[in-house]
This record gives sequence, C-alpha cells and structure tokens, in this order.
Amino acid sequence: MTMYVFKSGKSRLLRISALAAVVLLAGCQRPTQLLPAAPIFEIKRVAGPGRDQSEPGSFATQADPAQFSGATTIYFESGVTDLSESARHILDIQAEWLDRHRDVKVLLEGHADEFGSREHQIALGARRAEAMKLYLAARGVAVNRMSVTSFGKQQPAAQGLSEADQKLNRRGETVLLGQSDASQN
Amino acid sequence: MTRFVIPSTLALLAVLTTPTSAQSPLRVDITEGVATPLPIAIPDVAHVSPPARADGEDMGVALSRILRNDLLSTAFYRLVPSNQRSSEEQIVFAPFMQSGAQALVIGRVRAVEGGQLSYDCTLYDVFAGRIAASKPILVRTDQWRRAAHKCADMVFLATTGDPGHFDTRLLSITESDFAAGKAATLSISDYDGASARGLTQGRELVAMPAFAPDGERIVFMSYDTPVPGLVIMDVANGRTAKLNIPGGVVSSPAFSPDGTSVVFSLARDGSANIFAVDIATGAIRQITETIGSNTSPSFSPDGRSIAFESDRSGRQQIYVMGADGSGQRRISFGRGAYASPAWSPLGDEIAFTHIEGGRLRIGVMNADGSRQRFITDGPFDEDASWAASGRAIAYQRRSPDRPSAEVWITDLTGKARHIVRAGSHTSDPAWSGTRP
Repeated sequence: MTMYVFKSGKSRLLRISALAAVVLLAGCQRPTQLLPAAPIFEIKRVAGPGRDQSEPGSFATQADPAQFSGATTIYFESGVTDLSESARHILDIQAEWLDRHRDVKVLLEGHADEFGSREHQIALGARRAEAMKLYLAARGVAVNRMSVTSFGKQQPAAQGLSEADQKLNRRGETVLLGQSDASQN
Repeated sequence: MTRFVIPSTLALLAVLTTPTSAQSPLRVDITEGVATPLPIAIPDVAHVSPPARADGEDMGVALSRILRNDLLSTAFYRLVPSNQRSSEEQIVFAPFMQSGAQALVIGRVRAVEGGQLSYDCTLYDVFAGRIAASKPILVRTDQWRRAAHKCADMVFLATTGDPGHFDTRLLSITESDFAAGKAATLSISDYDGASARGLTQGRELVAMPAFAPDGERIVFMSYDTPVPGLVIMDVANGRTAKLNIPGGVVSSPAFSPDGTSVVFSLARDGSANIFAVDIATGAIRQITETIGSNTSPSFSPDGRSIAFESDRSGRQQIYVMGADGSGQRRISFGRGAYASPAWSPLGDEIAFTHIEGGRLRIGVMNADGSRQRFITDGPFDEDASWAASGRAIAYQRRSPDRPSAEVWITDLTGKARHIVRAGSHTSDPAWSGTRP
C-alpha cells in the first residue's frame, strides 16, 4: 500500500514508505511479548533541513505542516512541559488543520536543551510531546492519529551552548504522516 | 632554615617505617583516591626469536610503550627512565635500585605457532630482589595490544589490590558533522581508543549504549523507528534483537549484574518510570510508579539495589531503592540537580552528573550519599562510566570553545585526565569490565 503526504494545498503528493503510522500506533497497544519479535517496519527517516523534499520514499517533513498551518514548532520554558499561550495558539492552528485533513496522522516529537542529563531530557521530551497530544486531543484530534516520540537532546535545532541557542532546543515539533484523501486530490 | 630540615627528616622516617609489611612492599599508597606514585622502571620488552612485528613496529618496543601508557594514565606510578632493554640473563637490580625504581617490569615476547604471541610479563620488587607477580600471556597476534594491557592489569592488581581496567573496551557514539542529530554510529574500541570499529552502520540515531556484565552483549537505544526502541547486540557477530516494550518512549537501558534482564525508563501518559524486562521471557515489570521523570537506573554490583534519578521532589535528584522498587530514598541533598547515577563496580561509590546554573560536571559520592566531591569542572561533562578497577571514570566532555563532544578518562581526583576518543562529535561512553 502506498501512503501519501500532502506536499502543499495544491495537492502535490509525496509518496512515503508503507505503514509507518499504522504499525507505530499498533505498537502502543502491544502487551508483553517474547524476544525477538517486533517486526520493525522499514522507514527511511530523513530529518533535518536541506533534504530534497520531493524524494520518493521520504517522510513528511516539518516543512509540510508549515505550508498548511504556518507553524510546526512550539517552544517550552526550561525544564517544564507546560504549554505557553503562544504554544497553544500554534497547536490550535494544527488542530484546525488536522480537522480538515482527517486522513493525516501526526508524529509529535519532544526535544530538550543541553542543560540536563541525557536520560532526563529524553523523558522530558516525551512528556512535552505527551502534553501536545493531550492538548490536540482536547481540540478534537483523535488519539489514534497521534504518536509520541522524544529525542531529548539528541537532535538539537541549535548546536551552540549559549542560552540563546538552547532556547531553540526546548521544543515540540509536529510531523505529518498522511494517507491520500480523495477530497484533496 | 629548620623549616626545611624537619619535613625531610619526617619523610625519611616515613620511608624507613612504612614498608615493614614484607607481604606487599610494592603497594601504591592511595589515600582518599590520592596516590603516592610508585617509582617503576619498564625497560623495552626483549625479543626471543622469532621476533614479532606490531603494525610495522618492533613488537617489544610497541608493547612497552602501551604498558607505560596504561600505568602512567592512572597517576599511581612514576616512570623511572631506563635505557636498557630486558635481557635474557639474570636481572641485575643494582642500576634500577640506584635510579630509585621500586618496581621493575620485565617482559619477553615471541611469536608462537598458530599466529599467536607469547608474552611473559614479570613484576619485580627491586629492593627485595624478588618476583612480585608473573604471568604468561598468550594472545592472537592481531590482538597484540591486549597482551600489553593484560600485563598492565597484572601490575595494577599486584600493586593496588584492585583489578586493572586496561584489557577492557569502550563503547561510544560518533556523529559526523553533516549528519548531526540525524544519524550516529555506535563504535567499540579498546579502552584507550585503539582498534575502533563501528557496530552500527550510521543510518539512524543511536544512544545510551551499555555493556552486559559478560562484555559480550550490549544494549542501546535506536531510532530506527520514529519511536525509539531498545536493541541488544552480540558484539562478536553483530546479531541484534529488539526488546519488545509496550507503547511509550524507552530510554536509558542497563543490564542487571546477572545479565538476565534490562532495566530502562519508559515515558508514557505524561510521566516516566523505571521498568525491567526479562530478556529470556520478555516479561516486563514496573519498578517505580510516580509522577515526573524516573530514569537512569544503575544496579549495585550485588544486584540488590538500583540507583536512579527522579524529579519527584522538584529538580532531579539521586535515589536508591531495592531492585524490586522497595525502600525508595533520596541520597543527594546538595545544591543544584543530580543526575545519571553510575554505581561503582566495587559497590562503595556512585558517580553522577551535577547540574547547577547550566553547568554540568562529574562528581562521586559514597553509595549512601555521604562524602560527595566533584572531580571535573565542566561546563559540559556528563555520562560517567566506571572503570572495572573503580579507580577511573570515562565521561563525555564538551566546552564552549570546542562544542564537539569528546570522550575523556579521569582518575578519582580529577587530576589525571586524558582524552580518549576525539574527532567528530563523540559521546555516551560505556566502559566494559575486564575481558576474560
């Protein structure tokens, strides 16, 4: 099966490798199982800026929702998971857009700054992404359309160690994973 | 003037009175982690024919260099220069005694059948004029470095009473600049950074590697899927198996001391808690259950207790509990936050990352939280991993002027520090136990 991600409102499609979101969500419900099991779905994860977005087989990118909603990234205060007013405003826009594109699924990525232990920042990022999920769910986005992940401080948006740089790393990103919707073609 | 006389008289008395225990006169005197270095002579290792070569170098010279580097990296030894080569004849102690050496390491190396290297390593007590320890070492010729490390381990054990940490390995994560944050390679090397090779292909992000007690298996986090998983790998053949963990974000895996289970942190429903998975059956058990983030579990070497970090009281602090989650109690009470506890292999101490004012540095305290001290000065030092000897710690270091992370090793005083793995961004060190 082929899944698509909307490249823009003008119905350009991006092919992405099969199944990603579906298997991802199924994984959330999995009870204790034996090793080695987990059939791991194949994903060409292409992250970060500078990639060729029309490349077949690539994921939806942060740029995609930007073209729809104007915002894919929200920022957090140091060490917390609280959603600021501006963060909520951006999530409102995302929720509204997701309401109009019900076949699209999202991956919510939590990130954190360098000023904490590696382990703590992973947990913090996961809790930030979970806070985004709760908020979007309250705005009507079905929970089975949302997956949560965390990069902690493993995938910084800014490499510098100054506070100005690290502010940019306390963030939540919404990545679209979608399936073609006839109404959009 | 008397000021100068009195101390030297005392020093003389000390020399005369301390080494009376004839049993172990070669002991390095270590108080509170600070050593009085033992003067040691390490002449170049002698060849017995047929001679062997080490990557184009004279094998005896190469082995001696590695042996010296190993021992001197600890700050427990002071090298006494010696320009003579170990000879096959009887050892003449007088020149070594005159140069002040108390210990002398003599080695003889020869190639043997089957592509192997035979290395006889002998430690002499110079003043007593006798052998203090001796070991025949046999390794595959392509693993010749291990022969020097094994000799260093023997000398370290004989002179400190603790197992050496030289014939060991180091895991680390390397990110190339162009793929920073997108992909990383998990590598394994000797503890000194030599003989490095990649264990993963650098196609996805990997993080937080840890050795099993046997040193043959490792566990690490892999972002081969958008939601990371925990992967167990057999180091020798590269075979992997993914641990099956119910929904959530897993991180911070560590083996139990018996090697049968892996503890980890699982973030879901807005909090992160510590769980354990039985590797054989896949059975998962929850160990902590609080709000906030409970993570970075580290077993005590007897397997009875787990140290971990939790922000249940506000900022991150270090806690200790029974392996079943019983008796959870906070042990860090200083200023700032405490994170990433690592229980020492001897069980008596816990290393940690201290975070205050945006500065991260490595500290050590007793396992009950007492006698806390900092051994690095930051500002971005983290991920402490103990040496098998309990006498050194590997960690990741970054500085504002050199933002790429590097892996360093320090002694417990923080004075004998040296870089081990540099190059592109190298992080997440994990130090193995002594190899069999």
